[in-house]
Amino acid sequence: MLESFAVKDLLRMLLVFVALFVLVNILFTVLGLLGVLGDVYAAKTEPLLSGVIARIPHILLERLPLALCATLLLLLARSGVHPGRSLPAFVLVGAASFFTLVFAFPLLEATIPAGMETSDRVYTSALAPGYWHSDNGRAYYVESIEDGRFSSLLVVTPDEKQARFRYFAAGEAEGPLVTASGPGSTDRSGGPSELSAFTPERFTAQLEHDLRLLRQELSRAYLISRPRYLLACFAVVSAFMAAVFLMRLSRWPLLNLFLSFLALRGVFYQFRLLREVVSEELATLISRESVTANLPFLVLLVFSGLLLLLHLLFLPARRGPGGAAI
Amino acid sequence: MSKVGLRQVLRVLVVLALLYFGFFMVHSYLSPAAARLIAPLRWQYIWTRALVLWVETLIPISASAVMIAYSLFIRVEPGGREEPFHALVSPHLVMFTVLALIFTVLYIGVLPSARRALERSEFSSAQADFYLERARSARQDRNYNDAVADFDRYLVRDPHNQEITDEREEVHTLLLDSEAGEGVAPETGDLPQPLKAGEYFARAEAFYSQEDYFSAHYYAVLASRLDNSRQDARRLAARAWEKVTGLERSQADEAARALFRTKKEGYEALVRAQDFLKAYYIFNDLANTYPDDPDVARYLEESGRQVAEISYFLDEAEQAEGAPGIGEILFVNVKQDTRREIVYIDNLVETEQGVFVTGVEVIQFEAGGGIELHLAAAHGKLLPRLDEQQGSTIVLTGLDRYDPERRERPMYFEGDPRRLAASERFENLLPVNLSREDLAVMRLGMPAADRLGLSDLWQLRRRCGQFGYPGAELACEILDRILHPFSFLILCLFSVSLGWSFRVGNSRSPRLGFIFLPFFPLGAAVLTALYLAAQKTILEFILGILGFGSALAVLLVVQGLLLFVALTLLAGQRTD
Repeated sequence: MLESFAVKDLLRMLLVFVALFVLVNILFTVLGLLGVLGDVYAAKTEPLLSGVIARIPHILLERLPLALCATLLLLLARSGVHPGRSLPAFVLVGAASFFTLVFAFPLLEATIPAGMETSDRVYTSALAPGYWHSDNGRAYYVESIEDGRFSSLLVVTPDEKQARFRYFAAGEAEGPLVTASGPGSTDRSGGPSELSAFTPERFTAQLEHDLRLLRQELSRAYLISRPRYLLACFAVVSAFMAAVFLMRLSRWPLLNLFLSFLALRGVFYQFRLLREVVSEELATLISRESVTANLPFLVLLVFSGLLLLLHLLFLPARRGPGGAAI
Repeated sequence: MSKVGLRQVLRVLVVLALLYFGFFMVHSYLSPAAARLIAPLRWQYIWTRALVLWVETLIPISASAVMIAYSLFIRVEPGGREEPFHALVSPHLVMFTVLALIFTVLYIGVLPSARRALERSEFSSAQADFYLERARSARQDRNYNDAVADFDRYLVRDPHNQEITDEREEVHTLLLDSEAGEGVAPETGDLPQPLKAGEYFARAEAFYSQEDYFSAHYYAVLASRLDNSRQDARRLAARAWEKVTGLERSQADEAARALFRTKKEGYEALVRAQDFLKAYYIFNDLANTYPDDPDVARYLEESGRQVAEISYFLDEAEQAEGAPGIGEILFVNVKQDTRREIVYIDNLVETEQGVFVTGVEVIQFEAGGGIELHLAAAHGKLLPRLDEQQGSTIVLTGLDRYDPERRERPMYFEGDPRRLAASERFENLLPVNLSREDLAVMRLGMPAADRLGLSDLWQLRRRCGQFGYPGAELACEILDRILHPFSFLILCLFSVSLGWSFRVGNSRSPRLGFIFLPFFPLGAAVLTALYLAAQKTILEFILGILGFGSALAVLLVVQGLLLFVALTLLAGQRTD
C-alpha cells in the first residue's frame, strides 16, 4: 500500500493541492468581484474602491468550502487516491483540507474590520440619478446627486393604499442613508441598502444561500468555542471526502464522477435542510441549544463515517481509470 | 465506428429527451398551478409548461446523452484500422451543429412565446375563478343581473362547463322572474366605420332627399370637417339646419315638439358644442322614452362612442376591481427639460370591455423644485392614443351610465386637471408613452423580460432608459438568448471529450449503472448552471462598465475561445 506513494509523491500531491486550491480561490474571488462590480455599474452608479476591496474577504470566506470541494474533485478525479489503496495520500489530502479550513476561516474573518457586514456598500451612493432602485418593498428615484446632496427624491411605497408617492425636493445621500425633509415628514434611512441590477438565476441564488448559511454556522461555531469549531470543520471536510469516495463506486468512471459531484452538491443541500428544517423542528422539542445547533454537523459526521466504513469494508481496491497513481 | 456511433448518440439523446419530457409532463400535471386552472386550459398549460421546462433543460439533457454514449456505447474495435479521434467524430460534429440550430429555434423562437402562453393561461384562469366567485357572491346577495353577467364572463373562458351553464340558467330564470314586466334595453348595434368625406357627403344628400334633416346635417358636418375645402358640404349642412329649425316651428303636436327640442339640444351638444357627456345623457334619457326613434338610437351610439374616448363607465371599471392582472407598474412618463412626470399603476386588467387600471397615482415635479401636480385615481381605462403618436391614454373620469350626477374623478393632492396635457378641452386624460404590451414590462426588476421576443427586447432596451430603467436586465436577457445556443454546441463537444476520457472501455458494460442514466442530466444541470453563471457574471460586468456592444463582442470572442478549447480537447483524445 505504502510502496505506491513515496514521500516524494506525497509532497508533490500536497503542492498540487495547494496550487489547485489557490487557483480555484482566485477564480471564484475574481468572479465574485466581477459580480459585485457588474451590479454596481449596471445600476449606473459608481463603485467605492475601499468597499470593493473590503468585500474580498467576504467573498473568499463564503466560497471557501466550495473552493475546497472543487479542489478535492479536481485532485482526486483521476488520481486513484482512496483509503483502500493509498491511505497516507488520502489522509494527507484530508488533513490538508481540514487544516486549510480550520486556519483560513479565522484568518479571513480577522481581516474584516469589526462591525463590517457583507451588506456594507461597494458603491458611492445606492441611488443612481434618473433610474429606479428598489429595496424592501419600496422604489426610489432621484433626479441628481452631487457631493452627497441630492435633488428631487421620490420614494414609492406600493403597499400604501393612498398617496404612495413621497417627494423630497432636496436632501443628503450617503451610501444607503438618505436624509431628507419634506412637507410634514422626514426620512432618515429611506435609501436602498443593496444594489442588485440583475436577478440571479435560481440555481446560483440557491448555491449562494447554501454557502452563506454554511459560513454563518462556521462563524457561529468559531465564536462559541474552539472545540465546537474544530468539530464543525472536521464534519464538513469528512462529508466532502466521503462524497469523493464515490469516485470508485463502480466500473464506470463517468458514473462515479457524476455521483461524486452530485454528492458534493448534496452536502450543501443536506446542510441547509438540516439547519433550516430539521433543527428548527427539533428546537420545538428540545430546548438545549447546543444539540440543535450542532445537529447539522453531527449528521454530516455520522453520514461520512458510514460511507467511509462501507468503503473500507465492501469496495475492493481497484485501480483508478487513469491507471497509475500519482 | 462513426455510423454506429452516430446512431448510438442519437438513440441515447432521444431516449433521455423523451424521458425528461415525460417527467416534465407528469411534473406539470401534478403542479399546484395546473390544478388551479380551469378545465379547458389545463392540458394546454401542462403541455406548454412541460415544453418550457424541457427546452430550458435541453442543454444538460443533450450533454448527458453525448457523455453517456461516448462513455458506454462507442468503442474502437480491437484490431480495427487506427484513425485519429477527431476523424472518427467528425460526422458527429455536423450532427451537433444541426442540433444546435434546432435548439436555437426552440430557445429564441419558441420559448418566449411558450412562456407568454403560460402567463396568458394563468391570467385567464385566475380571471375565470374571480368572476365565478363574484357571480356566486352576487347571487347570494340577490343581485341577479351582476351574477348573470359574471357567469357569462366565466363561460367565455370555460364554455363547455355544464355545471356552471346550469347554474347560470338558474340565476337567469330568477332574474327574469324578478324583472317580469320590465322592458328590454335597445341594442346599440355596431359602431359606424370611419368613411371618407365624399362618402359622408353622399350619405348627407341621401338623408336630405329622404327629409331626415338631422342626419343630413350630421353627415354634411362630418364631411366638411374631414375636408375643409368642401363648400358643397357646408352649404348642405346650412340648408339642412334651416329645415331643422323650420321643422321645429311646424310641429303641431306638443309632445313631438318637446321630443324635437330635446333631440335638437342633444344634437347641438354633440355636433356643435362637442359636449359629448351632455349629449350622451340627453340621448340616453330619450332612448328610455323613445326606444324606436332612429335619430335617438344613432346619436346615442355616436355620443356613447365619443364619451368612451374621454371617460369610462364606472360599472365596467368596477368589474375589473380586484381581478387578476399585471401589478405594480412604475415608470417615468415625462422627461422634458426639468419637468418630470412619474406614473404608478397598482393593477392592469384586461376585460371584454377594454383594458382597465386601478390604483393610479401621478406626480409631476420640476427637477430640484416643488410638486406641480399630484393625483390619485381609483380607476382608469387604457385607450390607444387619440393623436398619431405611439402609446396610450389613460382616461381618469368615470361616469355612471344613467346618472349624470355620479362621477368619479381623480383626487388632486396638488395642482389641477389642466396640468394633465392630453387635451386642452377634456379633463383627466393622461397620455402615456407606452403601449399596453410595453407597460407590462415596466415593473421593478422587469420580471416579464423573459417573455419578450428578441426584436421586442432589442427595441425596448434602447428606449427603457427614458422610463427610468437602466435596461441592464433586458440587455442581459438578449445576451443570455445568444449565449445558450453557443453553450449547447460547446458543452456537447466538451461532453464528447469527457465521456470518451471516462469511458468504460472494452470491458463489460456496467448494467447496474444503467439505473442511474436518468440522473446524469441532474449533475449536468448543476455543471451547466455553473458554466453559464460564470460567463454571465463576466458579461454582466462588461455590460455594466462598457455597454451592450462590448459585452456582445466579448461574448462572441469567449465563445470562439471555448469552441477552440473544446475542439482541441477533442482532437487530443486517444483511440488506443
